[in-house]
Amino acid sequence: MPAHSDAASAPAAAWRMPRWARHSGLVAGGIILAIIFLMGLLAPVLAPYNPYDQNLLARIVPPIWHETGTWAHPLGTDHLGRDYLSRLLYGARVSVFIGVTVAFVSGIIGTVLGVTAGYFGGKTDTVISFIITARLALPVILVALAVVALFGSSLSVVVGVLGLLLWDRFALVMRATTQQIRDADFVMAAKVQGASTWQIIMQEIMPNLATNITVVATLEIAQAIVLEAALSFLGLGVPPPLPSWGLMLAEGKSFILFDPWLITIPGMLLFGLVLAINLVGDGLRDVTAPDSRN
Amino acid sequence: MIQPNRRPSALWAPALVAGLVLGAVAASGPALAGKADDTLNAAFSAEVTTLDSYKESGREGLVLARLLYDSLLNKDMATGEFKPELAESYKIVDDKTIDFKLRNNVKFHNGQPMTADDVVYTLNLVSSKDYNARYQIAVEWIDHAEKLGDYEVRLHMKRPNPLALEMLAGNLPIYPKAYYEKVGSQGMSVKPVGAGPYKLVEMTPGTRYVLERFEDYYAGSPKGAAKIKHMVVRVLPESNTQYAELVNGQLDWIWRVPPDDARNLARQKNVAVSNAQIMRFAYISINPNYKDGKSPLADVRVRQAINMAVDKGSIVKALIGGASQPMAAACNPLQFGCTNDVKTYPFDTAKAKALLAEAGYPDGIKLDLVFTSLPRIQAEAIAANLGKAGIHVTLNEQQYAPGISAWREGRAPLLLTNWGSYGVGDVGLSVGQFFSGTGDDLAKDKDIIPLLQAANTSMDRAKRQENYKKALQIIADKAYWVPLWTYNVITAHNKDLVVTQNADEFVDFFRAHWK
Amino acid sequence: MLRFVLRRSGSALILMVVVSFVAFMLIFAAGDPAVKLAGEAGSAADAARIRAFYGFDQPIYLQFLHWIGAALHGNLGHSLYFDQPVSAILFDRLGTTLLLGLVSFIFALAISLPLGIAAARWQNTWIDRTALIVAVIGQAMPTFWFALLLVVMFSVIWPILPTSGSETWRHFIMPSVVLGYFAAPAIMRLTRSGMILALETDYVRTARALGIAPRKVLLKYALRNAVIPVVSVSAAQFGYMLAGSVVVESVFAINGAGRLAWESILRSDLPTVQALVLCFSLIYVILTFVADVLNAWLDPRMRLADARA
Repeated sequence: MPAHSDAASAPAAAWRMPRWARHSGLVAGGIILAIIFLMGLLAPVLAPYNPYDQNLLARIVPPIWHETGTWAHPLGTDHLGRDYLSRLLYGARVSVFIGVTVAFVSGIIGTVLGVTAGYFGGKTDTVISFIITARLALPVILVALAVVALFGSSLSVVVGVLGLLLWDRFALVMRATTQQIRDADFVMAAKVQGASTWQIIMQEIMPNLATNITVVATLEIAQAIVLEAALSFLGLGVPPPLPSWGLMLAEGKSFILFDPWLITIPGMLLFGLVLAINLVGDGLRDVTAPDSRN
Repeated sequence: MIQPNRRPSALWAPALVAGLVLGAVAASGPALAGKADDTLNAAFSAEVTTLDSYKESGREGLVLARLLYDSLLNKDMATGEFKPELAESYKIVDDKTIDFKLRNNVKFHNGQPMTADDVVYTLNLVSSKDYNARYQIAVEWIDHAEKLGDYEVRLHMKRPNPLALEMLAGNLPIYPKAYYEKVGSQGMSVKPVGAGPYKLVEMTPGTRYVLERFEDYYAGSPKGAAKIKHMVVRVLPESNTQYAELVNGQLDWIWRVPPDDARNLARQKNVAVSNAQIMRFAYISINPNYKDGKSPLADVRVRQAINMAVDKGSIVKALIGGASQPMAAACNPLQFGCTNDVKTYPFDTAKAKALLAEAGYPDGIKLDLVFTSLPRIQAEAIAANLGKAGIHVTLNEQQYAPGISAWREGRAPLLLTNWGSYGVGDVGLSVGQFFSGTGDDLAKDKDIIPLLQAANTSMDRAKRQENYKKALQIIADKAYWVPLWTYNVITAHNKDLVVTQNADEFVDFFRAHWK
Repeated sequence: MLRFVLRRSGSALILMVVVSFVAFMLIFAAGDPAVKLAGEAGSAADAARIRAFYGFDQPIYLQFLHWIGAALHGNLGHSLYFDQPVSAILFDRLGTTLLLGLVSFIFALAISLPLGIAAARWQNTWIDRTALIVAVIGQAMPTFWFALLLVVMFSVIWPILPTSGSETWRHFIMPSVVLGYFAAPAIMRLTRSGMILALETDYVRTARALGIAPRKVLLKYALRNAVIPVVSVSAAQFGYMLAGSVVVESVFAINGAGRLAWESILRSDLPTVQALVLCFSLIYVILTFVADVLNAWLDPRMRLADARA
């Protein structure tokens, strides 16, 4: 075992695993992600049923590996007799969309605020810290309830609410990391060379935040999908009958003791998605991490 | 930790049974299995607000209050007859006066005897404006109570109230004057003293209530003395936790179990499941004046089409079950004044489509359906039914307050919700409230309002019945509502426990006993 | 330092007022309190009476001024729902939840820091992959699911732990594990990425070149830098735990502030919600403050920067 391992900057030493192996995570993650994206894209072709079609006479049919499962519904049916496989395929679209859009929206809000606070410090920092703490102190559910009472529920409301709720982690991490490096030698050097504030932030600071941005983004994608499940308890999730993995997790809750596959199946898919995103995130970092420090 | 969960099949049920065996041996926690130590362990999902029962609007608190307090009268749920409870007898003097002769052997939990002073004090207190009783409907009709003798009370009403006896039976518990004057509402809410079959011995507000049989309970009560000595009521918000504790023997009784879970619980060795029809029912209210009458809903044919599009029978059978029934008229047949002698709209998607076309909407219509306090699964099933008939609704789930406000302010074309009629078996508290020109009445039908206003304040049962019938017929003809189905409450309990569930959504725990 | 504290206290005060006001307005936006108080059997007339009784028909800002005036005198008001002083119900429950939060947080740190460090130290090995999977499960598994699995495991199949209540320390085991695991992935992933970055820095290389023991390099020099974002995000993680505690408190029937907040919001119990929001904002102000001080201690450069600003 080596004394240390730093994938980004050290020249490949003799003990290193071959390059392809180092990125096996990237490859595996990419494959899983591609499969999930294809599931969503090809849902109309792949789905054996219309995901909205109810059949009250065939409710909670178990999946095929269960002794009473049938090939008519390989993954069974839900509590309204809708084909589970079809709903999962269509749900992939909705959930991936929610996860990625929310991470994007909250990432932009949080990074802009966090970097600004961390870089400029002083009054700017006070104001932005104020906003962050205010956001943390307001109960999420109160905000969510108010929004849904005013606007009803729709996919865009879900993305908006989650985006506005999840930026704080970005902001806090970006603020701390920026504070940590704003006085580093390479930033000072850029300043001495007469670089503008914008150039310093974009060329010196941001590349050094990339790792943490990726880490937080992967966290937020999962968080958004799971939170959507929580929100749908309040009627703020995607409006029924639109399928989403979060909603399916939420609906599976009532069946957790006696028909656990209703939650296990979407849960496993979500696990796959989050794992893939994390693997890809780590892999991308390995490939692209900059060496601006030196 | 998560391994069991990855097991991709329904292995929990046998696991639960296995757990039962182990659980009987090693059950931990403060509440031990019931029969052995004569303790009934019950759980509610919702918190109890206060034990000052006039300040409580939650069902759970009211259920507890009926164990702690007694009232002047008692309603026999089997016969519908009003029996004297704290009263020994009562006499209706005229439309606005009732005389009560009180029992002279009643003691409150603190040992003080009950007299006319307590009754007069309670009735005058709770009907005062300052007291601010939560359900005014129970008290606002009382003008004042008057002491005629140590054990004689006269009740004066502001106006004739056909529901006076309903309210006096259980909904107007009697408080001990001296004690309440001393401790006030706040004292009563945590250390209640009543004359009911159980007394409170210990509580953690919002979490745990320990009751004990009141040994000095008066002879001759229609409720009868409590049979089980101790009761421990806990608040367990998560239903799955309740199931786990029921199966491992830490709980003896839970209620409001969804039908799918009830089916699974019934398969457990030590669990019995029972259900009873209740007053509560589901309905869709249609606003004919939506957008000042410029929406498709202004056309009676569209409203009739909505009525025909919903397959009540299949939904009840698949999703609700038990004692629930599809409804024909806008009332629960358990209620006085209800009639099924109205125009009905049997399920017929094709005919619904034809009616829509006739009304000028051959391509169907698009509407918002606001729903609140109703299982989403039922709303989704209804929406799917409507969609097949060309009535495309966007489901808008709301919390109770914004949902109801949206309706009252005319922002909701359709409101899907439920109504419990305060657990009272009289349509005066359902249709009587919804179509008599009140804030909930958006149809404001000039033919219906006078009928109901007369019926709501008349003491003449025959006349009331006739008026309600006429009103219900008009409501059906004009299709202002889609009456959906009556509800039932499913109770899951220890197999050794005998307990009944009433139609008024109360539970007579004092009658419960072990097998 | 004193200036720092004073400035923080001033902004904390403004913050609490602003947050209270926003919360106040949100409650009215989330549904008419009078309708909620009237209950599910309340008629339009009941609601109108309650509206007048509690003064909900007055302009919101007037009601808010009333409330804040009383709050300044230490009177948090009277719960509309429980008909009791808010202070009587609040502090017990807040204590329970803070205890739960603290124990959970310690649990979260106990699993995430070692795993995060190990994952960075042995990057791309099976240790790293195991840590990743532990984190991903935590991210992908909703709290209620994990909580109910534990209930089934440890109180039905193998009944060694109590399912509900908060009377003894044993009652806190399952809830803390659930909440802690919920907070752990973020801490672990950030620790890992921070450690990887720190191990590449010049001073760690220098330290290593100077022949300082690898363990010491790792834990003293690298970790010190790596945990800075972790410390910052802890306030947010604590916030997520308070939100997550609603679920945990429901599953394990713990009478805590998370559930109180949730239910008070659902039933528009204005004074209770307002008091809770005040407490929450105070907690966050303190947490952020502690995080900043801790970070200044961990990284002297930040201390200088602050003095300069």
